[in-house]
Order: sequence, then structure tokens, then C-alpha cells
Amino acid sequence: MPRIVLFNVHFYPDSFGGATIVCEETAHYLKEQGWDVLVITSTNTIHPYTKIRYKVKGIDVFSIGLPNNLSFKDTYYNQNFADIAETIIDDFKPDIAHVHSVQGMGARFIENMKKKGIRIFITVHDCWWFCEKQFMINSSQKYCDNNGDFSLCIYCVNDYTSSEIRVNYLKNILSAVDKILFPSDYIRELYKEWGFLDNKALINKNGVNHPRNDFKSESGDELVFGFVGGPGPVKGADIILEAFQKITRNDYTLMVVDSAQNIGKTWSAYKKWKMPGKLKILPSYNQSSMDKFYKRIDILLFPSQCKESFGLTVREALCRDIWVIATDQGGVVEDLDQNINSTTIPMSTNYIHLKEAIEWVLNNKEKIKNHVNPHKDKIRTYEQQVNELIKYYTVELNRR
Amino acid sequence: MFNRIKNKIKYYYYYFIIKNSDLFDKKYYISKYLKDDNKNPIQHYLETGAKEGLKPSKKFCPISYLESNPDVKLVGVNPLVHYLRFGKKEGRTWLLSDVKNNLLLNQCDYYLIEEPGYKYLEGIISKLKSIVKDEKQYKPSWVPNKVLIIGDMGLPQCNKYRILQKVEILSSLGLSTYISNYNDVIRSVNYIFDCSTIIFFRLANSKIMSLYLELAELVGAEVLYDIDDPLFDKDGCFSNKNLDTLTKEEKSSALNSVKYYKQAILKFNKIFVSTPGLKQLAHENGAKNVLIWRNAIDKQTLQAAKYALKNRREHDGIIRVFYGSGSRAHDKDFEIVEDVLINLLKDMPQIHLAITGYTKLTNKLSKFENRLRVLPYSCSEVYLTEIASSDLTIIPLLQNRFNYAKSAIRYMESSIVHVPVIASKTGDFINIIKDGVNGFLAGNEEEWDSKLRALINSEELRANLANNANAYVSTNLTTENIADNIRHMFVIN
Repeated sequence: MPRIVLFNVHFYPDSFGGATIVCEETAHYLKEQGWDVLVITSTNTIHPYTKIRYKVKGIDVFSIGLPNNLSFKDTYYNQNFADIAETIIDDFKPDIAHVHSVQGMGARFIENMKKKGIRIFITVHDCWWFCEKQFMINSSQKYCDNNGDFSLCIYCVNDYTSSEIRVNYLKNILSAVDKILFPSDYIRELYKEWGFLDNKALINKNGVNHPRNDFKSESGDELVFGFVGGPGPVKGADIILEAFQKITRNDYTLMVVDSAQNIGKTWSAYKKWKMPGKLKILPSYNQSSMDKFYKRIDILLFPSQCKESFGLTVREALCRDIWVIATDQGGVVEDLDQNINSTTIPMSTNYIHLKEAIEWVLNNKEKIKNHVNPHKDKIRTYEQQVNELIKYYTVELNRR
Repeated sequence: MFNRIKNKIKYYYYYFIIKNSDLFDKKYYISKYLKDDNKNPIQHYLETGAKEGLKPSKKFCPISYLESNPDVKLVGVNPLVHYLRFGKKEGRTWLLSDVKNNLLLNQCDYYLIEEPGYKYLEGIISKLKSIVKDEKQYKPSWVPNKVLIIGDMGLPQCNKYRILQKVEILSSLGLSTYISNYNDVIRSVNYIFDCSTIIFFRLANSKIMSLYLELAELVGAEVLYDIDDPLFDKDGCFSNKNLDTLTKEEKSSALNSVKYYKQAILKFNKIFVSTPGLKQLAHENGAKNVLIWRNAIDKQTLQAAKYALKNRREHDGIIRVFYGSGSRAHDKDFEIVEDVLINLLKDMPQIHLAITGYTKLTNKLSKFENRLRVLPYSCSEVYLTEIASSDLTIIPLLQNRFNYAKSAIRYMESSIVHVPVIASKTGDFINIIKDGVNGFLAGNEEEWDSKLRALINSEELRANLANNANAYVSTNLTTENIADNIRHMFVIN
């Protein structure tokens, strides 16, 4: 059986973010298929540039310590990390390496693997490869909407020259790997606009964990809104608060998930939120406990102020017959049908569009409570995603 | 009266070395501990500060130093003074300096430097336990096939025979081998995760050792122990006459350490020792599975031997008797042949004596000054050239438990440069030397005398013994031969 090494900044037990879940699920399915799987991840809780090894949920993991205060260069060209990764790679001798989110780990280790003839796949989960701010959110916390003109970045980055060196370096890395995978058409187009070659680009749409057979809503009589994301403007938390404060009705509940608990932190800002309706702050959930959360809500709010590459929570909601209110931008919209399974709103820092959408939902309580998504079959499972990946891997391994 | 003056001198001496060291930061010390006190900080540190465990500067952590060096802690001396006087030369470290050597100091979290090593280990163990708590059995599907030697690296001669030779042998078997000083916790922990086998060399039982063992078990690595002196055997340890020169305090600390070494060997299911004699002593102390891994002739010694044979002195009619001594501990050993040698020197004018290393020459010997050649130990090339230029080597050893466990490395080194050996009937010599075939064994002064005379008088006998000895060592006691013997003890992919 082939040997594969997966790279991602987070992994069990510090699961955080969509890329991590994709990486974890890939590891599981490949393991089930009999592949030899090793994950290399990073942590802040051990001494910088040392490593620990453990096995969690059946997966072998090496976790490499990163310092808290990485220099700008180390975030994308981390020689120390690369050296440690190289010794592990030399021992494990993988046939394939699949690289997910690696901010902080840098891309230097990819060069080493290339030299050893390992087939390299990269999944691009965000804009990190061309945007040092990772999500194209500028210094005034707004989505910059730059369609590939790097010279405009001069208004945003701290040091334009360093930034230019960074982008050119990462561009070279991407052009040297065997395949680049994108979770949505949208993000592939964006990378194309930014001049990243796409002759080796493939779409590998993310899967999600579908509900268990016994999944049944337990939200009660009133409508329950759910929100999963950090406080502040980027994920739209600010306009959510504003919109609810401007609505006088109080016959609803808003449930906010404190996902930061997954990495041992907490988002305390939510505790200060006040609105006419009821507010509940829920502890973070993981892939095995997420049904509990989705059972309790009727509507998922996703008013992201940046163009998401995929939008994992939106898909999780869609396959559970949960109505979605989301911005009509990025990879999110690819599975949304206005007024059929969702209400889409324009991307705007003004709360008014969101407020209108919420009010419409509140006025159509019966429809929302009984909503069944007719396009559920469009939402992929992880199994489907990984099976497609295995096809890609096999083609690449059989090449030459 | 005399003691008071001695103490005063000692005090000023300590004051002086602290003052001249960059490890004492006056400003730091005053601001931290002497805010309202006009006392001289060094004086304060010498009188009370050290006992209270106060830090002399940000750079030196006395708690960590003592934790990392339990033998120093046992003696109860001022840690900074100890480090400046001895620790520095002996290569002793504490967490801070290890971090500096191996990692990037500027990126260290400060709390790690402040903490003694075992705290870091405890942290790692509890982190691992919290991760794998759901697992019924923590057994990695894949472990890098490498070996780590965690040891007390303070003794240079042990480094060569017990550590570097292991690295050479294991590498020749295809097992990459890392070495790490036991008090360099960060480095040791890092490599534990890389290895399937961990060998603990010459360590006394301590909190830090228990934690290493716990971690090794968690990551599924096999643990082995290795020792080359009977440090775990009370009688063996104290029959080493060298201890007579120690103070009461030092003696009680040595006695204590025997206990900890004994605990250490009993913790392991499998231990390596350097000689059959040491194996017997280990058995007597309760160790069960004891395997012999001899000191041997390694590649570096073979190179040095080549050099020695090329550069040895031409034969000039003088018969040179070689004696080499690695430490002052051998002074007593030399005494058992001294009278024999003096008689020989008197009787036979063609005899010269070549001595390398530490030896206290008595007045009786000094009379033959012009027939003595005394060199300090410099390097193995010079040492082996000195042997190769001689006609025979003597290895006198007292009959005691300590020497009973002694390795025959001095015999091997002499044999590899074709020089015959007469050794005392003890240690590993009795297993390796076949009396009269590949060397001579001597049990008392008469035997020493007769066998020395026989060798001195017969060039043919010398050549015979030397050739047999060389053949025996080359086919049985090089690192290559040892590798064949230990191959089966390791899982090799």
C-alpha cells in the first residue's frame, strides 16, 4: 500500500478550522483503505523546534513546536521546521505528500520533498499563498477584493519588498508541485487571476460529515439561529449583533459557538453581547458531537465579510435541512439556491441586509421549521471527496 | 587557627572567581533580593543567598543546575562556585546553556529556562497523556528505527568506549544513533520521539531518569541500561583505594550514589556491562538479564595504530617497559610492581621504563631518572606510538572487586600495535589472556619478576606473544567483531 504524509498546522487534539477537518477526515479514510498514513502538524505548547510523536484516533502524528513570535520570513520560509520535517520524511519514506494549510510551518520543507522525488499535492484552502494576511482582509478589517494586482498590496502590507519576495517564492513552490487542489471553482479562478498556473489545478470539492440516520430537529417552538465563527468583522459577527439589536422582536434564540475552545482559548467578546431575544454561548463541538449543535438550530448565519474558499459549516447545515443566511460571495454560493434552501445577502458591512433576511425568516417561521433542502445530494461526503483524491493520487503514482 | 585562615583564603578565592565571572549580575541581584539592604551582593550570595537558592543572574539557574547534576546537589556546595571551578571544565550544563547550544535562544519561552529540566519532562508527559487518554492501547503503527543514548557525558574516556563506539557499531548495523546528555532535557526529549530503542548510560536513579522511562514507555520505545564500572556495588566501589583521598562529605555522597546506581540497574529488564566480572557483580546485586558489550578497538584506534606503527622508534638495543595510567587512581596499582621494576633496573642496564599518564614517582624510582621517560597523556596517536616504541607493556592491578570488573582495553591497545603484555590476574584480562600464549598473567611479585625476566631475555618470546595477541584482538575485539555479536539484540529493518 502507498505511504502518504499529510501536513496541516492543526490536528487532533487541537482541531481548528475547515482545513484541519478535511485533513483529519482524509487521514481516517486513507487509513481505513489500508494506506500508511503519517500526519505532521505544529504546536505552540512544546519547546520551539522540538517534536513529539503520538497516535490519536488511530493516526500517527508528529507535532513540531513553533515559537509564538515567528519572524515574517519564518512564516513562509521556515528552515528550522524544514530540517526537522526532513528527518521524519527520511525515516517514513512516503510516496505522496499532501500539504494543506501550512502558515507558520512555511513552504521550505516542500522543496526538500521535491528533491527526493515525492509526489506533492497541495490543497489551497485560503489566500495564504499570495496574501500574507491569508484571507484578503486588509488593515481596516475589510475584504480587499483585489483581483490579482499585486501592486495594490503596497497599501496594505507592512513591507512591500519583503511581501514581493514572499509571493514570488510561494509562486515558485506552487509551480513546482505535482498537483494543486481547490475546494471550489471560485478559489481556483481567484488563483488563476493572481497568475498561479492552473494547468495542474484540479477541483477537489470538500466533503462534510452528513447527519446520522436518527438526526431530528430539537429546536422547539421558537426559531433558533446559530453562528459559528470568531468575533469581529471578518466572519460577520459585528453585523449579526447590530442586526439583532435593531430587531424589536424577541421570539427567537441566538446560539453562538465558542470554537476557540478547540485550541485551548476562549472568545470572551460574546459574553458582552446583549439583544432583545435570548442569547446562548455554546462550548465548541467536534465532528462527532456536531449533530447535537445542529439539532438545536433552525437557521445558520454565515454573513462572512470575506470570500470564503468553501464554507464548511454552510454545507453541514444544508445537508441537515437547516436554512442558511449567507453572503452571496466566494465558494459558499456554489451550493446555495436563493429562497429554496437559503437567503443570500450582498457582502456589506451594513447590517441592514442581514436584518431584512432575519426578519423575513422570523415572519416565515412555519416554512423554516418544516424546510427540507431539495438539493441535499449536491453536498458531498468525505468518503466521496477522499475517493476522488485517491483517484488523483493513483494517476499521479502511475505516471512515468 | 590554621583552619580559620584556610577558610578565609577559600572565601576570598570564591569571592574573586564570582566577581570575575559574567554569571553574577550585581544589578540584577540587588534589584531582586537586596532592595533595602546595603550589603555587598557577592558577599550576601556567598553567605546566605546560595543556600536559599537565589539566582545570581538571569543567565545562571542554580536550581536547574543542581537538579541537572544530582551528584553536585548531594555534596551540598555552592552551585555557582562549583560550576565556575569544575562544572564548566567538566562540561556540566543546566537547562539554559543546553538550550543555547542546541536551539535558538532568542526563540525560547522564558519559563522553560527558569524551570528545572524535570518540569519540562513532566509537562510533555502530561500533554501526551491528555492526548492519548482515549486510546485503549497506545501503540504507534510506525516508529523510526533509531537508537538514542542518554548518558552522563562528563567522562571523556567513557565517551570513547561506551558512547562513540556504540554509535559506530550501531551505525554499521544500519541503526542511526543519537546521543544526548541526560541533563540536556530538551534535546533528550526531542530524540526520544525519534527512536525505537533508548540506552541509558551510567546514570544513577533520579527523578529525571524515572520521567525519561515513563516517557519512553508512552512512546513505545525499548529501554536498556549500560554501565562500565561497579558503581552499583558497595564493596566494588569502595575497594577502589582512590576513595581514601576523599573528604568525609565526599565519601558519604559517594556512598549515597551507590544506592542510586543500584536502584538504576534494577529498573531495567536488560542491561549491558563491559566485562564478565562486572556481569557477575551485577548479578550479585540483583540484576537479571545482563549482557556483555566489551570496550573494543574502534576505527579511530585502528587509524592511530597505523600511525603509531609507522612512527615508532627504531630498535636500538634498549628494552623499554611501558606503563600507561589513565588516572591517579592507578597509583596504588603501580606500587605492586614497583619493587620488581627497581630490581630489574638494578640488574639489567639495558632496561628503560616508559610511563604515560598520571603516576606519582617515588624516590626509589627517581634514582633511575636517566632511564625513565615520563610523558603526560596527549592523544591516542602519541599514546600508541609510545607503546609501539616499547618492547613490552605491564598492566599491574590490585586484586579487588573494582578491578575485578576492569576492562582489558589496555591489553587490546598494546596488542594492536604488536607489543606483548603482562597483566595482573584480574579483570577481563583473565578471560582474554591465555597465559603464555597471547600474553602473560601475573598473580604475585615472583610471577611478575620471572615473567618479566623471561620476556626481557627472549626476543622470540616477545614476538610470539605479540603476534598471537594481535591476531586474537583483530579477530575478536574490534568494533566490527562486536557488531556481529550484538546484531541479534536489536531489531534491524
